[in-house]
Amino acid sequence: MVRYEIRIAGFGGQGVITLSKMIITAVSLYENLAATQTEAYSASARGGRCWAEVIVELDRNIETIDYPQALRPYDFLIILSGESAASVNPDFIKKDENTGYLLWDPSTIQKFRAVRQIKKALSIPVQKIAVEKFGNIVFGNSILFGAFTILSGIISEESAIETLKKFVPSSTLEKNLEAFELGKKEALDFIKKLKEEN
Amino acid sequence: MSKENNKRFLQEGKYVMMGNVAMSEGALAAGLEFFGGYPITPSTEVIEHLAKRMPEVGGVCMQMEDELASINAIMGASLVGAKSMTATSGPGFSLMVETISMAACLEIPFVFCDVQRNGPGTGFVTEPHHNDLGLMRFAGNGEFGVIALAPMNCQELFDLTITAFNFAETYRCPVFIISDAYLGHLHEAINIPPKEEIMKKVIPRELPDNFDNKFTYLDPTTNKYITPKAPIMGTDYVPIMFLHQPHNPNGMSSRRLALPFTQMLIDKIKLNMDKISLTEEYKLEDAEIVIISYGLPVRTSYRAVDIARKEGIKVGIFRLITVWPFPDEKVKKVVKDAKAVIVPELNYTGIIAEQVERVTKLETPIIRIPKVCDFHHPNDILEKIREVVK
Amino acid sequence: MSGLPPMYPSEKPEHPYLSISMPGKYFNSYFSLFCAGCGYGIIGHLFNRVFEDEKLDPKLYPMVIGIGCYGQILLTLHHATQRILALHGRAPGLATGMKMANPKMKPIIFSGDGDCLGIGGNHFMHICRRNLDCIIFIFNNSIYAMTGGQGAPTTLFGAMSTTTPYKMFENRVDGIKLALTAGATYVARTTVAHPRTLMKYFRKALKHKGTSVIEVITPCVTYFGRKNLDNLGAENLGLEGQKMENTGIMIDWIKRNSIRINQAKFMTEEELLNKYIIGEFKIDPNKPEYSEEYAKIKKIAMEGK
Repeated sequence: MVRYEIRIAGFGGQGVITLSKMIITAVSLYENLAATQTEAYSASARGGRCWAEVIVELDRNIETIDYPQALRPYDFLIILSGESAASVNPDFIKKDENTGYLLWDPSTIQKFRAVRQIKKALSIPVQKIAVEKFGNIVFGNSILFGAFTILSGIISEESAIETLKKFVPSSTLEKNLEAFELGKKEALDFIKKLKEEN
Repeated sequence: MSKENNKRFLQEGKYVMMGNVAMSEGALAAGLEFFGGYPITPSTEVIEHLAKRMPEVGGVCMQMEDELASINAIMGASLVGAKSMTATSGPGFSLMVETISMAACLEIPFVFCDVQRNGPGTGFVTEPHHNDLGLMRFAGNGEFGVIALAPMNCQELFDLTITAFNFAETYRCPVFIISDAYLGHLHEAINIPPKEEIMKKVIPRELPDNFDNKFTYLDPTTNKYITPKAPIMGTDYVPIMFLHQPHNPNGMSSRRLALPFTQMLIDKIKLNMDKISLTEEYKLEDAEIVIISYGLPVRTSYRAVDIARKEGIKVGIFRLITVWPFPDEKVKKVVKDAKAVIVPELNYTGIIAEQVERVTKLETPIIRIPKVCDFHHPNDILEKIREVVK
Repeated sequence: MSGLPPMYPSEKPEHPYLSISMPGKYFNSYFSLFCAGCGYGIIGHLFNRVFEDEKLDPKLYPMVIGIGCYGQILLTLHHATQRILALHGRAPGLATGMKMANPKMKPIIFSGDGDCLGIGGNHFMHICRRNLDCIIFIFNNSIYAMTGGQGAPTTLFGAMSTTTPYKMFENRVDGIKLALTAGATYVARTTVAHPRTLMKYFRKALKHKGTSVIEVITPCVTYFGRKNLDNLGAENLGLEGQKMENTGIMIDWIKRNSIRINQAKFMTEEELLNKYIIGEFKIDPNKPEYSEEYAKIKKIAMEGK
């Protein structure tokens, strides 16, 4: 029983729920792991505090997830809005060696107190890059997905790209793959930096 | 299936689906032809999904003006021979009970999905709370039997919906699917079996083979007062009139037959308990402590039992897939040698715990683990197991 | 029990249309459960005539009957009709399901004033809005007769009933205006005192595609007539009325109290208080019908756009 708990929080419309759906699709369809996803519903999904949670069972012998809600501390936390950043506590994230990442977006979060005490926190100005480089904030998702794929290590790159193909329209696939690569690169650099620090 | 269409069945394979969507796809696979509904959190995805899918397969999905109209519409559709279904949540359910009782009296088959939410009143609309179980058991005025099935994951939401439609066709009573806000919104991977495999399972709606132009509510083979197959308006296979009163085999109201009629409504389910009552056992062979539950809490219980077994505690799970009718005999057998029974439920009263109390005649200690707007963590159940051992 | 006259005529009546009712066919006798002077016998009989004369296929014209006194019309109707007794007020919902699951059908809904405009007002409004192909008869006797004479949403202003023992003070609902606003495409009102018009409207509705609403004013002697005077609807004339204790007075009152639509145009609101305006209000064959529109949607969906 090796649960991998992922939580994504942000504004409605940032792609929080789409990202969680991409993760569960990659994990359960292409990696054949047991996984569940839950999401914020109704009013909260559109504004304010949108969230989604994915739980992945890394043990291949287990076919169902018993407790279908993400438990603290999380293995992977993605924070995309100031409001959700304010409620984050450094204890929310696992302190183990190969897990416990925080991914956040400095272009939408002005003040993130807890981040100073979290060692494995990667900031990518996703929204800014998506708008400036790709012309639309929807590409932010692919950047995040790229970074997630590398940092978490629970999905292979092939599965991630297959999932991306499933989720984005074929006309924008190339741009999305580019964004995915960008996220990947950021994550690889970050891992390198972490290693150097140790 | 009369309106067979290739789009009806999803291609064989693995999909990631929301629980509500999996249930809708299960219904489509079972031959759903008419869906009438009214949006209500947390069952809205069902009508949203079917609004797109039903016209594709030649069926009808209607958003009615309210819950009363939607259940009456599905009853009307079922009367003219279309397999029909509705989905709602607690407040909608309480509006619909009037018609459920009428449908039970006329023995009109349909499937009813209740995606339960917190109550009473409006409650927390997106939180699970198994509080409609009692209402299901006594859904409406009058005495009649119902069937209620409790899936615990998205795969079962698909499979059990097909079973529910088959039960509805066979026993012609209201058949409920017990879902809840959490299960309905859960995304999980499900396996869609090949089309041929599903087709083999499904019982279609059609006229009986030996129909000789005169309808009767008597079973022709046994001559018992049990409807052979659901009548279809617009064919010759109809009674003289559809009266929601105790009626004689021709369909005319009859006060003299009120007792046998009521008996029939209840006995047609009671006498077929062996076919209707679906249950699952997990490590029960030598269990001293028995966990009895249904739906989501069972998922958690599996893990708790595994951990407890490692500690050397003899504990097992008896899972109710068919919650109503309550399997008295089976439960009696299971709890006979048990030291204690633990009933984790997503409600405070312990609706199933009460049934277990009734069956055990309070001879075995029964420990409830109530949760409202929340789920059991394996540790919650584990703690209780350890407490019992002490 | 000798010396008492037989409850029902033991001989089969001569009239050829009588034997097509259900008791006529199966029991070779003619009986109904209605009170003496009730209008539903007339309505059922007129329905049977049209049903027989037009040679309607009973399989395509299911009868959906609401709850009220007229529920007993089940027995009076043509023996071949396929009948279902719906729940109180829910007949339009039931008919919608039938029509949509089998679009060849044209349900005929029998419902009363309390059934259709009281408890089932919402369903009535929405079936009209959808313009679903069906016929809705609203039998308006301005009282809840089956439960013993309580005030209905259609009870006339100033009338007596068991729940308005002093006088009715609520405003009444006009089923026709409601149907027109909601979007029904054939709307007419007539009374049992005008049987030929009723048959004519029914025939028209059968040929019409879309929701047809026919309101029929019908007498209830037992619970409305006995409690009320026949100066209802003529209050401004200052006449002294007599109790409407028998059918004659009641039918007379209905005739007197109903104004043709052309005449009504020249009358003031005050004059029209408690009056029934009769006639055809709307015929619109061009408005799209719901099941046909849905068939188009199906086609779009099946072909994948």
